[in-house]
Amino acid sequence: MVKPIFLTSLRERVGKSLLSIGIMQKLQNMGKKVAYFKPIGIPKGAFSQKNDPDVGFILSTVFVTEQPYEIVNPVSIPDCYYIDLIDANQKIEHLNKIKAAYTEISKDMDYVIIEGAPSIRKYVRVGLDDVSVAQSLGINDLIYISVESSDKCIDNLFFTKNYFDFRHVNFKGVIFNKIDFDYIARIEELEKNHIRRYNIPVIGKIEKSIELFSPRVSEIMEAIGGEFINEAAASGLDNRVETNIIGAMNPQAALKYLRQVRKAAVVTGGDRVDLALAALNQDVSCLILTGYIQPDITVITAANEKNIPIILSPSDTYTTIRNIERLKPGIQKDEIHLVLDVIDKFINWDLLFN
Amino acid sequence: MISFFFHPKSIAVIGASQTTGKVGNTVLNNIIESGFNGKIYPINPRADEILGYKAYNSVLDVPDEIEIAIFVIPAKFCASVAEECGKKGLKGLIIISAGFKEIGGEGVEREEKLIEICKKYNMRMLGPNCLGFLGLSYNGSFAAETPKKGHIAMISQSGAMLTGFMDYSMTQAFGFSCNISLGNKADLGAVDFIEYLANDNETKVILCYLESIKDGDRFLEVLPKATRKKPVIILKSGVSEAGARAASSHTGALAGADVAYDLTFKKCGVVRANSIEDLFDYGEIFLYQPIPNENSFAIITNAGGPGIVATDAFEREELKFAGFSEKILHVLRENLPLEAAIFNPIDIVGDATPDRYGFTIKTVFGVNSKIELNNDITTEGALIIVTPQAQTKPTEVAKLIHEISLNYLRKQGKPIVCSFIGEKSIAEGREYLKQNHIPCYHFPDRAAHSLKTLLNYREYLNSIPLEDRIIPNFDVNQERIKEIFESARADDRTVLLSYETSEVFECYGIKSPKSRLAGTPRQAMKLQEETGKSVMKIVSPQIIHKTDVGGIALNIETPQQAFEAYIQIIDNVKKFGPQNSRIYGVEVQEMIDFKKEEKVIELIIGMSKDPVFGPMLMFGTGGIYANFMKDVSFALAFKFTENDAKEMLRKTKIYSLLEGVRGESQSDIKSIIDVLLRLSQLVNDFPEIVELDINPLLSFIKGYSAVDIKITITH
Repeated sequence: MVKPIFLTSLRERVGKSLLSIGIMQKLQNMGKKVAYFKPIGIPKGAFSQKNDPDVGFILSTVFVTEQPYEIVNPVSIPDCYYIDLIDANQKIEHLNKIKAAYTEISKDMDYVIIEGAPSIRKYVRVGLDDVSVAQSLGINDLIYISVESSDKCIDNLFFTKNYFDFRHVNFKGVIFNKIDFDYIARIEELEKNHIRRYNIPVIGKIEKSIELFSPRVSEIMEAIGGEFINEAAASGLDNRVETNIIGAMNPQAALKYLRQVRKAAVVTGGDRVDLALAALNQDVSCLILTGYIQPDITVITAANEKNIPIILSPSDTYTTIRNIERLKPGIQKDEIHLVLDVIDKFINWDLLFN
Repeated sequence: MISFFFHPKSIAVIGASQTTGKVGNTVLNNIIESGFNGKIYPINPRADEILGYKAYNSVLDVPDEIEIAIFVIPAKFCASVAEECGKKGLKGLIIISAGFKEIGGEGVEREEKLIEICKKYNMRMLGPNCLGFLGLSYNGSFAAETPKKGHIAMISQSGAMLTGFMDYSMTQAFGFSCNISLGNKADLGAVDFIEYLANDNETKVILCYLESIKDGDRFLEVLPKATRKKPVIILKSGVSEAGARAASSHTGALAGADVAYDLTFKKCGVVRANSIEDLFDYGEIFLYQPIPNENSFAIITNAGGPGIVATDAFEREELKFAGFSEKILHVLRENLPLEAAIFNPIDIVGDATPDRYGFTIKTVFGVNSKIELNNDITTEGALIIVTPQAQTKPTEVAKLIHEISLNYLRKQGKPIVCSFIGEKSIAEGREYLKQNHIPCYHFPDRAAHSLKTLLNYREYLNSIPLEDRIIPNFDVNQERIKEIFESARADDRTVLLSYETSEVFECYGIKSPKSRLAGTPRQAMKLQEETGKSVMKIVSPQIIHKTDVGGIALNIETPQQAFEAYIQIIDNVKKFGPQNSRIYGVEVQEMIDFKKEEKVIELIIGMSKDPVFGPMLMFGTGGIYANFMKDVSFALAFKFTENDAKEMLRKTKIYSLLEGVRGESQSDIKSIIDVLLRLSQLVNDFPEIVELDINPLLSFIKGYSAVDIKITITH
């Protein structure tokens, strides 16, 4: 009998895909047969590219299958004006597709990891929300993923628990994911004082991995439409960027801030030779020079020596930073092996699997 | 050693050319013209003979042994030819060719290849990208002229500067024992040549123009020995703040970019020149004038104004005036005009003749054969000022000064410097002095500065040699510190957490308040209850300046206050702290109740590691204004003694407060010295400590407390 693990959340970007990858790796390591299933995907382009990028990534990494794409992700609903796209008939059609695909993908499997919609609220109006989908598949246990590193997490947890109770599905447990390092101790305290007394199982408390969620220089370059100018430091394009910092002060003053950051993208004007040189002596992943101003040769030489890429940004400093902030870094194929390493010690696997 | 560069028996010129004007032609011509009496082998596959010498395809074709080769071929061919030189058994290569590290990219690889080949064949290399080598026996450079021979060794990192220096020297009274252009210093650097030249009999003074020093440890090993044998004068350029220094700590920020060079030069007895003018002023005075035995000088002038200017300069330079005995004063009074000032500085007034100058100089030095003054003499050197008056006859005065210096003063180790003020009428006298090796300056300030430089060198020579100094060795617990560092590294941290620093200090016997880490507000309550009055501080490796981001709460007296302070601190830090900072929690540290202390002084003690010369200790006025007061002194932690610690303290303004003002008791100065000594041992024992700050260290009448400590280690 296949065991479904249905991952839900109250908000998007909580790391459901990443958790799915990690859980699948764990089960595969245990010799179990495991499938990935995403009932409703969000296509990359509304109608032009129907595949969900997260599903595509998983299919190319931890879940290589001969099943057609539609079995893994039977329904695809664009993110804009979707309410208008689904009427009562389509709802039934979609649910039928989901059921058929789930039956197909579950065959001979020990486990199926089901990645829910971006939030449990999504598609409630059209009856395709996570709870409705679960119920139509006969799945009663839902796992809730929480990402807040503040006491808000308790309110959200109890809200979700109450909502599941109201909808008559079982709150199987919570995984606190991407939690700030300093908040882990607080979660433990909250668990002791607030969660246990309501018998809510805490399946995992996963510390935020800066490493896994940091973009690479190449991703930033793409996000800002930048140009890479020092070929000698090409391997630095794989450097991770953990922090962004704007260099606007004089170098002596800026050093105070530059020294406090790790693996930083330093954004400054191409004509700020002094600051660029000061920055290159720090823990810097790349220099982003705004206004498309070519830097002095001394800056290029120093950057080459330290293997730090220099990216020319066509925009002003504010716009450049805004575009970096908008960047949603994705996990890369070559770091897939890191996922289980990062979450393994933080999850109570027995609780999750049994 | 590297003597083969100085006195080679044979030289190959790789890329020797028949075409006048080409570097390969100039170098070969310079070797020939400079009278080299060894064998010369031009290497050029396209020529049979160059400038009268048989040319060879390759060094491997030369039937005889070759000792050194000078390369003037394109960079891309250097490695393969160097390989041939290695096979041939050459000892040294002078690579004039450019196109190496200085151009980056493939140039870096080419230079690395050359280094590898030299190591493989045990060859030494000067350059690449240099002007060449000019020794007493040959001119192996592409310089336009061969400078005069003499006793100054000149080492320059810049080839262009070196040609400028050599050109300048053509009109001066000194010459060179060698001129060495270092270029990229891929193998041999200034220190290697200084080590050799310290034992070179032809060299009396070593001058260097350097832009950087690579190997600080070797500099600290070689220079203190070299400078005991002869003066080494260095002009270090490229003293800029921007980009040079990574300063996260108070100590690093206060140190600036150049402090380490100053400290190192002083510790090693290197005379530091701050300008090219200084470099040659010092070179000349050290070459020709003796080093004074004491700080006791006379000024003899024929005009009041310049005498006052000179007196001011003496004050600035902390030069002391020789006190004249009754007998000397009597002799001066009897023989000088009534209007003359006979007390030092001596004004022999405007109508002074050469004889009056001669008489006065001889008298203050006790070398007037007609008057017996031997037991009254305290003058160890003099500054003679001449202004052009009708009776002065500057050239005559110059001749007398030279005669007295030559016949008496040099033998007694007493320097004499002059200032002939003016130009037209004193030019001849000044030139006479210059040609006869008496430094003569336009104005008295530079003269006083030169005397002071000589005196500093005497003080260095009189000091205990570095290798003989007694360095305290405390009983410490290194093993525990290794564990702490390893655990921080395992956690990918370079800044130690506060409770870790407390323990590190404890291992080295330095007192600091007890401290523990709270991970939640409730834990903070509990810890506060156990600790009593506390200070609470954010613990995060990324947050160095805690006050700036609201990461500190003082005077926490109740658990409830601790609870609230925890929340407030975390809230502040999440709003104002650096992005993605890893927060470990909030530390609850025992708060030192210094109100009960009669006297409390906030000090800063720190260490900043210079990338070249290693750890530097800092001491000064501490607290939140430390960076603005800038009342600090520095010392190298290398061979750090109790006297060094005392000197550090004395150099600051806060020292007088520590000693006690307005009837206050003295602070526990001994305990501060103890902290500095223990700290120097700590930073020497653990080179992985790159920065360390104690700010403040509270000093009391009895004891102290290191309140806030930051330690940064390498990965």
